[in-house]
Amino acid sequence: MSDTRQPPGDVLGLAKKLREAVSQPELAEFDRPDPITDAARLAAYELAVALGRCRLFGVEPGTDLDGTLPPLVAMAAARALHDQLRHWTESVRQLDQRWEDTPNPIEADDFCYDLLEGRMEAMAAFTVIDEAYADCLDNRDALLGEFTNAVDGVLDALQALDEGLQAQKDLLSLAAGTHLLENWRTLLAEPYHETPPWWLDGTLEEAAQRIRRTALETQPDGATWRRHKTRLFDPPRTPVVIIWFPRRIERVARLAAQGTEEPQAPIAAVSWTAPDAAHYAVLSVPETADDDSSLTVAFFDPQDRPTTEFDGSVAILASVPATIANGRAGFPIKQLAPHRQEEPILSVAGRIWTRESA
Amino acid sequence: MTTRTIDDSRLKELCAPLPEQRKPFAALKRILAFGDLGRWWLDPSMLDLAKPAATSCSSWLEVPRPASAIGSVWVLFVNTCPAELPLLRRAMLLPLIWKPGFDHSSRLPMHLREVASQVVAVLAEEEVPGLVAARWGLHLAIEDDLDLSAITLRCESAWASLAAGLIVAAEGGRPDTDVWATGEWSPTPRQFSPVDGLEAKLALATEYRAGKFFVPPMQLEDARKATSGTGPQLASLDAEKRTLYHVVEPYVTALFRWPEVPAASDEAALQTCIRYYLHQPPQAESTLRFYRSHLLRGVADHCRRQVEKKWPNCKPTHLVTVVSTSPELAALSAAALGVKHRLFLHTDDCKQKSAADVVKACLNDLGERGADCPAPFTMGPSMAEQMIALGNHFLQGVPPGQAVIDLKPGNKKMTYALSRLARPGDWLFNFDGKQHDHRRTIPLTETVDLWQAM
Repeated sequence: MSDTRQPPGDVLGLAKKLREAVSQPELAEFDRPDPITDAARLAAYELAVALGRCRLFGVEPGTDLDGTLPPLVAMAAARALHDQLRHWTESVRQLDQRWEDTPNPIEADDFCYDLLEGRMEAMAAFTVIDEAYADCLDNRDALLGEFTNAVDGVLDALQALDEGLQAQKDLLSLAAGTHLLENWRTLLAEPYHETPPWWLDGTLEEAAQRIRRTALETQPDGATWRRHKTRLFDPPRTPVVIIWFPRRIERVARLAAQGTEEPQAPIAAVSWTAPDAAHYAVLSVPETADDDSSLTVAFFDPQDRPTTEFDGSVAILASVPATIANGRAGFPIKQLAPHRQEEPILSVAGRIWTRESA
Repeated sequence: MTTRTIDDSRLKELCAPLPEQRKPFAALKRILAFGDLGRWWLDPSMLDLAKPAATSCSSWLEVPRPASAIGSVWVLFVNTCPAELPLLRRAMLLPLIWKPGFDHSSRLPMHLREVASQVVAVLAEEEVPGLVAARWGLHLAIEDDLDLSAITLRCESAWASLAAGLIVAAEGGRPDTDVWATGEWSPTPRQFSPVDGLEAKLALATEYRAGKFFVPPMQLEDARKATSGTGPQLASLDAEKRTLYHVVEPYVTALFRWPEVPAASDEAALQTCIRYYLHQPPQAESTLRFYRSHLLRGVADHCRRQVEKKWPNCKPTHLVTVVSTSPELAALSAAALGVKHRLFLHTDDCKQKSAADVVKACLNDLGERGADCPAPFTMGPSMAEQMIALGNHFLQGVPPGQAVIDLKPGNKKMTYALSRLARPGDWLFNFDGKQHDHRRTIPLTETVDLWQAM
């Protein structure tokens, strides 16, 4: 118990937190025949959360800390978790109203993040409670009946919380605009990484994408664009003045898992004029694109008809080449991505086209 | 999150003619500037024009459809200045949603918010279930950042749509997006006024392939002329009624989408089905079919719980009942009592023979398997004797106390014959309930009565 070093890969310091949870004096109550106090129940819950987080995020706490919770401790943790779940479920019910009523948007958004953090906490606690229950079941422990009731109660409460949260996924999708979900996803160990819980499987990102698709782009004139874009979206020294690249790149596997979704709106359109001042090219920019897809530029003649006149020529967009075919040139997202901060310069057959303001 | 404000001058700007050159690009830029509302309000030719320039997301440039979530509602507006707004549709649809527990959105067109408030107030005053104590707010169903509060639109014709949409939402139903309406109604005095732009609205409904369109009664003929037999089926709101609820009831009946079969424990879904059922015409075959598929299980469980609680020693094995013109009654007693041997007495005509088959099918669907004996008898002076003879034959060898006679279905003579069949100790079954109209009981108000023959 005296080893306070952080195991490799434990970026969240979970082993240290587990050590603190194990050292809570209230846990001594479980070794005595007296009734368990609320403080001891809370200590058991904190221990379950701390150990559960180590399991979820693949942190080896060390042999002196690892193990299965004793049935009495796990049962007390289950009861505390049950109370906690009911509290969160009530908070979800009030989420709409609280979010509406809170003038400070940061505070309002925090309600959503707190609930998601609560759901992660519940997952962590339940992981080790379930582990202890399986152990109890194998050993036909005398507490099995009581433990079964406690676990059933937790399962019902988890279901109620999940139903409430899923009904609020539009609000919870605010988390998709932070690093919260991605961080959890990155840190999850197997098997949780392979089959993440619903709030980390892209459901919230999908909701956010639907809601945000038109929120950031109003296509005002170039000057307003620059002013707003600098203020709202870009880091102070970013030189980009035009949106020509998707805001979000998705892995194909994730999109496939999400199934069909609402068609997404383009967030911007960019046009270039040919050196003959008559032909032109257009690129419309999606908010989200698969990482193995392409951005397509379409070519038009002076009468606004799609044209194949440039077929066979090489077009270069932001240093990435593509051959024009059927009046279009497709530039692979993967190749464009490193150049996303650059000006979108287009050249066709070695001649640079002039970009119009968008 | 930025706010996309569209007021009258912005609307004019966005709906001005396109420049002569680079029209696909210009159209796409205009649509993007308009936001999601552009797909709903801009002339569809704009969407088509922009498609070649939409090198990504081209499917977004299809004309969208209204949603059918709980609370979904859509209202129609008319472009009253087509010369100034040439790219705006002649009639436009605005998708909205009624949200429980909310105030009206401050981003709605101001006049629409006023109409919404009046609709809520009138329906609450009429004590429409679900609206008396609850707060309902109207919100845009597109783009959270869209602000239309400063736009000037005539919104009076939204009365009918908002009222019917709210009633369906309060009853837990989802709207059928193929059923549309326009109708201006005034609470004082309680009457309709003709709506503007009916022809353009009908053309929009036709474009969206709406199946049914409700109009104010005084404009039904105009609507017929305008559509000349093509487009949606036309129907009239009910001008004869005094309350807004009843005025829009024909529309509500059509708008309320056939709900899913409720799960056994889903009380809210069952209540929605009851509301749906009570809106439907009482004796229509589709209504009866709905009762059997969606409500019979819940009603049978409701009755069975009463039997188990009040008469725990009633465990009949044999049931005698009559298949009347309401075959679900016979199925209900069999299911409520959980009896496995069932005698279905019925008149010997084809109609009642198939009604007996309906009872068997109902019980089968409910998972109430058992041995069913259809037993035809002839109407006439010997009817009672025939019924008693058939019943006695069926109950031969069944100990008294294990048979139950269902007195609910059939006419009085039949009830009399059946009551004579009961032996001392046998059970007699009946139920009563709150009547919605003269022909049907409100589901889940049934009160079972059981007693033993002396």
